[in-house]
Amino acid sequence: MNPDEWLDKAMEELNSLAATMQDDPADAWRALTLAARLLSSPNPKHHPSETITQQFPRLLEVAGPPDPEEVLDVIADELNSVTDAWGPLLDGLIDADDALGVLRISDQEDVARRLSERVAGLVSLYPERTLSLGSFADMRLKTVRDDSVVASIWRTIERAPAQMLADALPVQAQELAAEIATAPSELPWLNAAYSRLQRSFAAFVDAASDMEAPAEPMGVSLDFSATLGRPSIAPLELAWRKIRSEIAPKSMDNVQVPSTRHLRSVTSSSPTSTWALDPPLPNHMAELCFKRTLEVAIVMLPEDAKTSELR
Amino acid sequence: MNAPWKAKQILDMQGERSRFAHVVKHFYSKKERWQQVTLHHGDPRSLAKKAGCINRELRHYDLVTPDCREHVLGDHDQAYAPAYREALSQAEHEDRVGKEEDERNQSKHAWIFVGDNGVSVIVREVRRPHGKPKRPEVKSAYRVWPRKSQGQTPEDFFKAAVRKLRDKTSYEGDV
Repeated sequence: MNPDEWLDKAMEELNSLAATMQDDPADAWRALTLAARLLSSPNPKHHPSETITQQFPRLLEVAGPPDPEEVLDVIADELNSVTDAWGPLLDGLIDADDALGVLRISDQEDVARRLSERVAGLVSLYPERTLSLGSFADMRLKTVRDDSVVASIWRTIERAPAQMLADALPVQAQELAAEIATAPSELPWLNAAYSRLQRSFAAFVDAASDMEAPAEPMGVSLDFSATLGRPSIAPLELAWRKIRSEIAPKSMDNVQVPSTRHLRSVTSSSPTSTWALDPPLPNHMAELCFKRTLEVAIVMLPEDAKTSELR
Repeated sequence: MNAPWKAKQILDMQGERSRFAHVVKHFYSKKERWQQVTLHHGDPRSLAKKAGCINRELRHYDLVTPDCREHVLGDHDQAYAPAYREALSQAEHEDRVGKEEDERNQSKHAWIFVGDNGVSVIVREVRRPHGKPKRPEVKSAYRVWPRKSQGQTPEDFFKAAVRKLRDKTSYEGDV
């Protein structure tokens, strides 16, 4: 879904509510949520007119206040469910998004931030449930400013694959993963390798969840993984060569290198071998471990190395 | 937007466990008010209790009695499935269909149908093992409920469902 088209659609619908929003509670709420989405866009061309924003006090009175506890109850219930994530779970997350927008419009910034933190916290506990919502999260993040209260929820969902990986890592790697900040990667070659990994992982999820298997969250039932093809590790080898050339000479004195030992142990493994840990991970999980380890390595790079261009 | 299949080509929800879970979670939900849609006489949950279903066990297919299980699965066949099938037909007729769009993964999409009856149906193509062809299947059917401070009429449920369809997909139709 194109982010600009999503916002254009919101503007069009907001304009269509002009006649009814001052009297109908559902239309008043809808108008407020659409206006909030448009106001949070980094592009001023999407912002609603003053004619609309001047009506906010009346609309708030007609619509009634947001209900943060109800929002949280629904999300918690749906995260615990096994029904399709594009159903009530995504609906609940959009409702949270809407509630945050209306709270901001009504100058309840603190309440909005607390709700945002609680929702993001809940979501982070169930990455397997939000895995299929990555595309919507990507789109939504392109329609808001980075510092928007809604961004943290969708960012948590966007990182669900990495979160699942961190949860699956052996204990010693988890300690490293726990040190990872949310530093964005400025290295184009890492972004390219990560994109290829994401596609491989998405292909695995696609194949796995299409199979007629029991409805269990990803990461729990991997019995059918043996029948699926292994994604190529060529992009990982490329990424490893880059990391090795950039990290080793620059950081041996300044940073710990246990992460490079992880990298080395993965890429020196043959494609037919499994991660040399107990219990062994399937190859697709080993590739995800590589991605997570890349993130660890990047965070540990000295600051000047983080802006290196692709060579 | 037209789905790649006709409504009649879409298979009902498959598997007893899935049917059981969806009936208990959605069809028996007070918030979703399925009595507006089906010809069920009386509260479905109360009727399930009379059939031997105990509240705290209702979430677990394996814990309920055979009588309870049979009753719940019967509700799928006699009430829940006809309602979602009707929604599929209505949505097809009105072209009230949207698609999950993921540029990274073109082969995997959810299609969402919204019926005049306010039932939202999620359909996915399910791959079968051993090279058998994919087939579209109902994966979920539920009713989007309006906020507490809003009306709870069938029209309010319908409006809430269409608004969610617009939010989640590229569907542009009016409410």
